[in-house]
Amino acid sequence: MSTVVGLNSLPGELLEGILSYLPTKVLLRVARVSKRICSSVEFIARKRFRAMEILEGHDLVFQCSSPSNRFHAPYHYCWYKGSYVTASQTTPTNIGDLYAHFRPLPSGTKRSQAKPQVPSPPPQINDLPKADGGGEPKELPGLPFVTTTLPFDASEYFTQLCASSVLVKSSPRGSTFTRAVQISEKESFFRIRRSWLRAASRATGGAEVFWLDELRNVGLRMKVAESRFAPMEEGEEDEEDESATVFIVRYEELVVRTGHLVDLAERVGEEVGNA
Amino acid sequence: MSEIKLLSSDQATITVEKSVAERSILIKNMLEDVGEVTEAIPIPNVNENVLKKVIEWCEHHKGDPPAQADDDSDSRKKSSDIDEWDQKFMQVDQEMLFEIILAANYLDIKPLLDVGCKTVANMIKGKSPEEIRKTFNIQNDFTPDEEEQIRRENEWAEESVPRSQPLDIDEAC
Repeated sequence: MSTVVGLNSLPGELLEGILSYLPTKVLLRVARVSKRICSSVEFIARKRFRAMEILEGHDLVFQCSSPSNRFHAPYHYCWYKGSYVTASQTTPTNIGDLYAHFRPLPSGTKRSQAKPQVPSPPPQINDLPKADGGGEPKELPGLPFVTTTLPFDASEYFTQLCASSVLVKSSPRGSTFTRAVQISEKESFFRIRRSWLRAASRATGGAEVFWLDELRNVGLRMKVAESRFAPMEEGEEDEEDESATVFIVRYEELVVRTGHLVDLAERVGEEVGNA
Repeated sequence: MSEIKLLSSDQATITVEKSVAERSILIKNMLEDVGEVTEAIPIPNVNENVLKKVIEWCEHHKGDPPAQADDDSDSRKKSSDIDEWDQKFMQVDQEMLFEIILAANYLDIKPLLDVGCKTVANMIKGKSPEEIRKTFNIQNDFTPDEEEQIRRENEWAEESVPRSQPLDIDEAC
């Protein structure tokens, strides 16, 4: 009597060998098939997420502005701070909750120029993300932030924010991009509400994250300040205030789900392969 | 041209060209160690059918340049492309497919092992978990709650459909 060999009964190393050919998103979908496959999937995914920590040969370029200004808005290189769980998440249990954090650098600062001042970030990824966020790396000393001004006309309750970021695979010489993929694919215009900005401008804790997609794959962690045209009257309740105003948005970080980033890097790689 | 004999698990003797058999690193090392052999070399883990199939592959690929050193640090293997002859070769029933993979692993024939793994990976692509269970006859050993939790954890990865449609070779199996 012999048992028939099948996918689920293959030795672990062979099962891993097979699953390693799957792109990350497909891989993670397969986890639900069985417990054995699930643990194999997790093992491979962790390995890939860890490899992503290095981000070698890739650059993240970020552009953000009000729509009227978008053709003049400069591109910003981003400094990769590491992957960790954002503080707002309460029950981090799996690697899908890991986010890669990028600090947009002021235009004119090439990543290479910023480098000497930047201590290489400590390895941030942990096998299981810690609830406390694993200790965020220190800020870049002495470098200003990227900001956007968002004006609101009277009774306008939202405005559009134009944001796009691309992951580029830089050539070995470092000066030209070989391939790029858009980080948030669907659109580059995002509605941002007056009420959200106002709430964010009053938040006392850390900067708020403005998510660019429903799945929360990409977000902007921003600090917001409101600059009114008319000074507020004494004792005025301004929650519903609809007069013209200006918000100044300071980009603390671009956060990208690490798994999403792994997926993007795979796709840049593919496009290089197909070219 | 020297020939050697292999003895399958079900006691069949197969005569094969030495250079073909040496696609198997296991056999190659064995021959280097013992020198000339006249006896049949026992391959206790592989039956006649599978061994013949493996030899067929080795014969077709005997002129291939030696495999390049593998970069194991890259956990994602780049491409799941399979050349045409190999695709045809792998159009076998599932049991044979997995037997070939096990044999390639045991005999240490890396390129054949890769082709086998890619073939299975391509059968997985584009299928829902339920379809994968059906295709490979896998029992779902999760409770509904556990399965739902895993689904939720990976929800962010759900919506996107793989761009390039994988080759549907499992239809032939």
